[in-house]
Amino acid sequence: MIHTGSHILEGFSYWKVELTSGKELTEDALSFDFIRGIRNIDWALDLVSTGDVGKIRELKLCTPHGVASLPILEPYTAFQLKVGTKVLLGGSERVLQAHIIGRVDDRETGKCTAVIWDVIEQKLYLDYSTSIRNFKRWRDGVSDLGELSISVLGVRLA
Amino acid sequence: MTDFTVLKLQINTGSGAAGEGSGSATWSDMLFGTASYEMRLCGASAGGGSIASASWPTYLRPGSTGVIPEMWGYFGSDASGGLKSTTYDGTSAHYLQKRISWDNTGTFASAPIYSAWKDNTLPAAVPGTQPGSGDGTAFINGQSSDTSSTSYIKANFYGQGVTSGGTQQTPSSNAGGTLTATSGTNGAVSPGSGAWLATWQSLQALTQYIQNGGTPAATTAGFWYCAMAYYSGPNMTAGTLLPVEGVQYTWV
Repeated sequence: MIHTGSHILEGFSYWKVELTSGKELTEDALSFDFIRGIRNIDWALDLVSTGDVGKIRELKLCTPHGVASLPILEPYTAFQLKVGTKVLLGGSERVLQAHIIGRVDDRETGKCTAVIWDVIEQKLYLDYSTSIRNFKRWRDGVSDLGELSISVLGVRLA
Repeated sequence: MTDFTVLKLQINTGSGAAGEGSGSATWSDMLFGTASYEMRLCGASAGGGSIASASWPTYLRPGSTGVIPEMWGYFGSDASGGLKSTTYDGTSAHYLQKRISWDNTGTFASAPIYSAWKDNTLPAAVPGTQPGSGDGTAFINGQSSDTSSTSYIKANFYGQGVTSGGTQQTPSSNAGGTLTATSGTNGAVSPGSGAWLATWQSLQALTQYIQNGGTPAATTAGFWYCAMAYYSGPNMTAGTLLPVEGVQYTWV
């Protein structure tokens, strides 16, 4: 689904990055490629695949409750992901539950700092400390995410 | 672009053994959300393929806790075209019953989770607490005497579906394992690679659930095979009980 701007009024969020070159990329903007046509800027296609994920100097999460920012001090330590549920039996809804940005602070242990926009609660969790090797629940009623795939996120550990 | 275009449930509607030793499996899309796609449970030999949902035979609350023995699928027509799931009988002696199917457009960012909820708002479970009038929580919450406060819905999953290296894991023998009305472990349980769970898990929102043992390979279509057992018991609140099941997953 292509979206711009207005979806934040509906309680959702989007990520934005500033690269070391000064260039900004945001999920809220549109891009084009010959395979997919017009589409939103995409973390995997436009940052991980291009290597620009290693050039991020600031990662932001734009939410209905404001913009949270994480300075990125080392290359390949920034990540973002979404958490959702697809109902398969008894319904067909695809429910977006949370949007997470984060920064790995310790490449040895995987310790990381995350910002979480909880779509269900409409609440922003700042400076959440966990590990990319075992991402723990940030509140009751959600699950531990477990080990995150560093290759998918574009993170490099020691 | 890394969310999935297709992520769906399929059930085996093949006849006879339906691929379990003989015959062949027929995997039918269960497109919930589309009118008259339904899965219905009933007593042994009570169901049929041409029964309107309003006339579907009532399953009476049993005198002792046990499995609901029969499951039917309806695929777009309320009173015709229903097919019995011959590989469902509430026991562990099956291996080609249901599967989760995804296409090659998406990429999991962590190991996906499978569970069941009261309804599509996905609320937390309150283990052991039956509702005043029947709804999905009757299945999900369980009851202390009937299920030791685990869910009435039990599941077993096979392997990882698709491994991180891109290999599809498809079962060739029965799920087996320990399956009782009280089966259930708090938190996540994960089947080993190419193996069924040794003990079936209760599906109780995010209190008791199944998590894949790994993150399936990126942009690789796959099937994650599973078997279910739906229980009922004398302390279960009766009514029209419509729990939902689904996959919680992450993507970038």
